[in-house]
Amino acid sequence: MGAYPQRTGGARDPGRLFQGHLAHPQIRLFAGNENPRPAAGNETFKELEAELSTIRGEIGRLRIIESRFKELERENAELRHALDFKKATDFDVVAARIIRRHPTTWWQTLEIDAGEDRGIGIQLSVLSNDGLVGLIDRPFGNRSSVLLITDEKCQVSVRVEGSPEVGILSGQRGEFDRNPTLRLRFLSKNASIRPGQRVFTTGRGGIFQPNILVGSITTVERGPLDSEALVRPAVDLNDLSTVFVVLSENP
Amino acid sequence: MLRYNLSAVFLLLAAFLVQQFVPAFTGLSHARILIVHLVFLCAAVSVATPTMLLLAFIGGILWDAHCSLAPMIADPEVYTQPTESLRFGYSILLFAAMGFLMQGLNPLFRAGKWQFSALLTGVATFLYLAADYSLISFVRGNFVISRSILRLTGYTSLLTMLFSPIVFWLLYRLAKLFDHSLYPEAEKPKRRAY
Repeated sequence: MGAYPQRTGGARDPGRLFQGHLAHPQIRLFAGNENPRPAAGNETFKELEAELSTIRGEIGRLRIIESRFKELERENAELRHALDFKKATDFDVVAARIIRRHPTTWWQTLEIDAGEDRGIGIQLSVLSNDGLVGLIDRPFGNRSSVLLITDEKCQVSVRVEGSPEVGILSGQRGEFDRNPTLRLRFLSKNASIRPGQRVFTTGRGGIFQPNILVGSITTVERGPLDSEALVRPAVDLNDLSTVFVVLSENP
Repeated sequence: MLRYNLSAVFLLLAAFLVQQFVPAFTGLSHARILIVHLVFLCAAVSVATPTMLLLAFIGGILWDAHCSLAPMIADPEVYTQPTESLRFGYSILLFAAMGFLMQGLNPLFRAGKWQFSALLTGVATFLYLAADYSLISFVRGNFVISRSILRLTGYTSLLTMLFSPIVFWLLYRLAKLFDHSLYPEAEKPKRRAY
């Protein structure tokens, strides 16, 4: 009987595994004085060490390339999505990327990388693939500030799908959470609306084009004189990278 | 003294540039580090009142230019209740008020105890945001206070305060560069000892 207890079981045998795979020169390094490394293997050991460090460097490089590739893949998907939207829409739109989110303390705004140099003016509506985002608040040379629909100042005339109800939708003050809701006011007292119904723009007011999806109703609050509803925006404003500024309808 | 005051003005202008690159922390109710306010508050305690007022004027007017919203021009039949915004220039008054608050600790600061001023920057930022929000509520009609507002105000004040030692250090380096003493009272006993 040798130094190791006799075991059977083929490749799954831990004893064999140790002898066969783990008994590598580098593993032996940590084995202390029990299995001293022969002096003749010094050069081989150094070569293996150099090879290992090269492989590690290569793995790091490939990981960086992989992450960059994934980023490009995501960007490509977004741009394809945006291109599809641009082709499908009836509006003459300018695509823009978001460059800053919430640049001010209290207002719900963001900045895009398109401005007056691309024909953008004040109070043009801003859309995404999923629905209404807001309106242009202040255009500059090559960037613009967008007032989001979640801001209290942004008021939109809307209608509720499948009902005659129309009202004014606006953001609510102090809604800085990840999932803000909008307040739909001036609905009739016995408005026949229910959670889940979608809300679209009416086109009144001269800013937003009609029939743009804004969100869906989450809660209905009935009052003595009128009803109000809370609306969840259709667009996830925290996860938005490309928007479209509507220059004109039906080019 | 004059060169130090000028350097404080330039530091405030530089803070506006830096502020453009400071993002809001979405996970902390959109809290942010108010670099402009921090530089103003730290500088306010280290300069005389006229210079503090000059800094308040520059800071307030530029902050309003940065933050103001364009007036809403829309059909009055639809927009029956237009939402008011704050008037341009109101921040000058708020900056000045916070500047005077900071100068209340001027004797301690001159004695070299900048730590109290550092703590006060957090308090002043909180008061500034509270006053700012109260004014918005006043012009818009109803006072709504929510947890997210408290979180935004609290986290912003805390984050801003945490960076105050860096700004005090910068001001100290500027003062040294321009042969100005930030802590004249603290240096007096040393001179007597020699």
